[in-house]
Amino acid sequence: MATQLKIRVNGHVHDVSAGRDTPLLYVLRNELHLIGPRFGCGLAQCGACSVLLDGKELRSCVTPVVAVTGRSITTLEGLPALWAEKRRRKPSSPPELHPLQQAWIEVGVPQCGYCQSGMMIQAADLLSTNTQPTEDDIRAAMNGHLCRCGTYPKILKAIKRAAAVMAKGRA
Amino acid sequence: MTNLFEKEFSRRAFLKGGGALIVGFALARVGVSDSAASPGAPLPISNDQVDSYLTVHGDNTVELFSSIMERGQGTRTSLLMIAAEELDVGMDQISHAHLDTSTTPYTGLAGGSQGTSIGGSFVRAAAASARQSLLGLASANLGVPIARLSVERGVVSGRGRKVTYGELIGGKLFNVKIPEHRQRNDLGVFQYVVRAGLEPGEAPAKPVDQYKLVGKPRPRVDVPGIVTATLPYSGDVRLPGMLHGRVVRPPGQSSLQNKATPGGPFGTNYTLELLAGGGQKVLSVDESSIKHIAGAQVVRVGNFVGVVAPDEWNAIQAAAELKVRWKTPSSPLPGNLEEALKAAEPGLPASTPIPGPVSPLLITEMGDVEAGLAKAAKTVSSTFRTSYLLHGPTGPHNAVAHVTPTKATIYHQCGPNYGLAAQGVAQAVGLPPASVREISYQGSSFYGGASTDQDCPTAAAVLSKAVGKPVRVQFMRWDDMGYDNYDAAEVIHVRAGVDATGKITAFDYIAHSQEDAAQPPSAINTGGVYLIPNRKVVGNVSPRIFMTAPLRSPMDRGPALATEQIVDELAYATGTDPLEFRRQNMTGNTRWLEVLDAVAKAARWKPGRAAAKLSDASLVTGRGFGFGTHAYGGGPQGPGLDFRTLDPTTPAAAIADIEVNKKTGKITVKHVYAAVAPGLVVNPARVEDQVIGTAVMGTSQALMEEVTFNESNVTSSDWVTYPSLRFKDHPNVTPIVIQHLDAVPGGCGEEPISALFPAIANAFFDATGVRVRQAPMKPAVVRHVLANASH
Repeated sequence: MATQLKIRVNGHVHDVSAGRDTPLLYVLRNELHLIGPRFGCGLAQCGACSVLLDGKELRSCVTPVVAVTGRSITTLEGLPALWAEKRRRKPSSPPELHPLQQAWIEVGVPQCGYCQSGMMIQAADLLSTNTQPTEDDIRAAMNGHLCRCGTYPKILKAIKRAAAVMAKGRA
Repeated sequence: MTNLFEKEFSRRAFLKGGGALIVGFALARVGVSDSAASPGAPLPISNDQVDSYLTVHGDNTVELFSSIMERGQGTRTSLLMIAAEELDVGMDQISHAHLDTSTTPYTGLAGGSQGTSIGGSFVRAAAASARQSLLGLASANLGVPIARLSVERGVVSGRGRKVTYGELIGGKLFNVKIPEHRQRNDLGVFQYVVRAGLEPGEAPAKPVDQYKLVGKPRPRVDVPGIVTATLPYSGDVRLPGMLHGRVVRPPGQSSLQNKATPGGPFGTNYTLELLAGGGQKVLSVDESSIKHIAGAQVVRVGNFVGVVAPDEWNAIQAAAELKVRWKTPSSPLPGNLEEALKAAEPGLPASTPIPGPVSPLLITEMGDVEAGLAKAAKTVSSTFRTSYLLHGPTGPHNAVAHVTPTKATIYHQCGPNYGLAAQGVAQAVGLPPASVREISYQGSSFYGGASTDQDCPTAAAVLSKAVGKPVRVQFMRWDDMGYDNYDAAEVIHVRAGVDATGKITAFDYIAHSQEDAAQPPSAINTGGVYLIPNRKVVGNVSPRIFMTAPLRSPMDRGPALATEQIVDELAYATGTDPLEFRRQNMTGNTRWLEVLDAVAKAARWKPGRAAAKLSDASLVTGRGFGFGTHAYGGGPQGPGLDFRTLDPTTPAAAIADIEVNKKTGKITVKHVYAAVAPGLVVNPARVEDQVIGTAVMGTSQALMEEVTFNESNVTSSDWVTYPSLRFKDHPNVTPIVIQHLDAVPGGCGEEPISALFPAIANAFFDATGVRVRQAPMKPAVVRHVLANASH
């Protein structure tokens, strides 16, 4: 059952001992001890497990680990490094937070916080292709992510704030 | 570290009346060692000692022990603010200790709108007493009278001399009792309990006008950890040698009636029976069906079936593939829910493990309803319905249990009743409650309790006991949805009348609902806001279809939906603006008027009769108002009692702006204005979060949430079969939090939900001229009421 797969997560290559068909989520959590991606439904319905695969949001709970070998995975833990890389800077220590994480703190988005890792991952995907999203753009892009505490209005606010910071950072 | 452990040793030995206790419980980032864990009885820590709540360390930092779990509402930050305020230390000098039944005193429910209001009073009393004690020590130490001392950031100064709290008491115990307090009981204004605690400003607590922290907005202390994935949640706990477990059962629970057994309603071990099999008996288990899965092992205890495996994915597959034959349930679920709920159940026998009220329950009676209706110039009469609702955390519950022959430790997110899960585990694995220790982490919020938060650790413990190793159980999405204890559905009949001067003359309210949680309809949400001379409110206990448990604002949605629509109907019948009609009928309680005026102002309410601008367009808009709160109306109440005195209860008012697509039947809530007046607001920014959160959750529940079932079992088992409001359709929210520094703090995590249900329904009438009297107001329901109204 055990395989000799290797996966690249947050800039580092890891050996995987799980079976090829094991969903990526369980490898990230149980072998790599990353706690950003979380189990919410196991059915790709809620987005709590989201990670970036080559910069695009992916549901790790239904993606077999074998499908992501040779590609680049980013979890919430990897967002600061991703931001440093985007600005072609060496990661500082401690790493400067991604503008989305900073905005999440400043706006005070989380309530229970369980869904927020997936929310920031999806927002990172959105802002990588749409640097000035409108409210409708944000509502459409985030629609696949469920929050039961009702933090949607504050997520909307935080994404706008992060977009403004990132636009300045690039200029 | 050694010092800390020695300190902790003496603290616990003292608090528990002596006895050798091993400490040194070490918490790693994503791993926990419980090798040295000691068992602790549920709620073993004395409630009347400062040392139960506070430890001052030599480095002049303070550790607070409270049993209020953070459930996403910022309550633990608010409690730190209260303690820091009373002690005069900075927020950077104080932190919360881990919630652990072997070290933490009981500080009330983390629910029922009580986390900050009542939990805060325990913390305030401890901190105020600690400060007094520290001033006494400082006076002796510095040779300066107490009256000449001042404190800043835990440094006591007087006559040019200084000493820190840490220098005064670091490493030592206070050995000081905290004041007692007379508190209104949950279940009624006329019952009081005496417990430890102080209200804001109540001596020896600090006068409210000297507050520096409390009452001002503050960020939550845990948010940076959440946003950077450095705060471990319950789901991140791993123990050495741990196996992964899953429960095996049919896809959704069957009727509770199937659980009746000759030995009592739930047999001798009802904790386990409630969890097992959905009321269905196991006929056979084919263990060979999973023999191809590495390390998978079946555990069967009575009708409980589970699997364990070293690898989590293997455990999930084994649970899915294990062949189990279940006996078909003998009692079907009702085809007609309304009829089933109205088949009133007689008073339950005293031996019933979950106490229920006697039916029917008279909540309040004033004057003569029939005479009042006879006197009315106009009368209205309607039936309202709500559905069973799911708690539905984003992440289903998870728990790690380590059971040995003599003790058990469980790691999970505890529910509002701290220590309750440990009691269920004790029963299921046959250990005395004192031998089960419960350690709690943050987790996905479940907005209520008493269901999966007990079932999941019980399942983990039963599996751990069977295999002799620590076991982690992560409930799957269908475990959470199919086996939750739902919020009770209701059927409500209301008749009311108004006289020629626009005064309400009579209000007659009869509800039918399961009331397992002993929560009759609130006397406030059933017309208590208004001065009605003839009023009667009756709750009938329905037969138990499912296990039910309170869900954020329990037993408030139906009453508010019914009452505030009836009041709107009376306003319409008299040709009056809905807000003006309310003003002329209200009791004169200024806080209710205040929230009404606040939302009206924020929304720029234009007075006028509802449904004045109806249109033939398929897309129409409307605006509606509603009042609501969360208050229990039970207890020893009788005819003639007036509930105007039921403070402190937090009033809420909401205005909803909606859009109705008459063709598709889809309602979209575009904007919610919601106001609360909770009395003293400890952290206004976090209360605004609660108003926003409850507005979004209330919209979701009012428009689309409903537990569905067929004859044999529950069929809503994921986010497709139980839809929840998505990002695209969420309303913009204008939260209004009214601060009253001089008032006792009330709740604020539930109240706007019940105000919003009728606000949306009244907006629907404003938009269409038609009443929608049931929730959820799904497109099919909307199309139905519109079609019926047009012939």
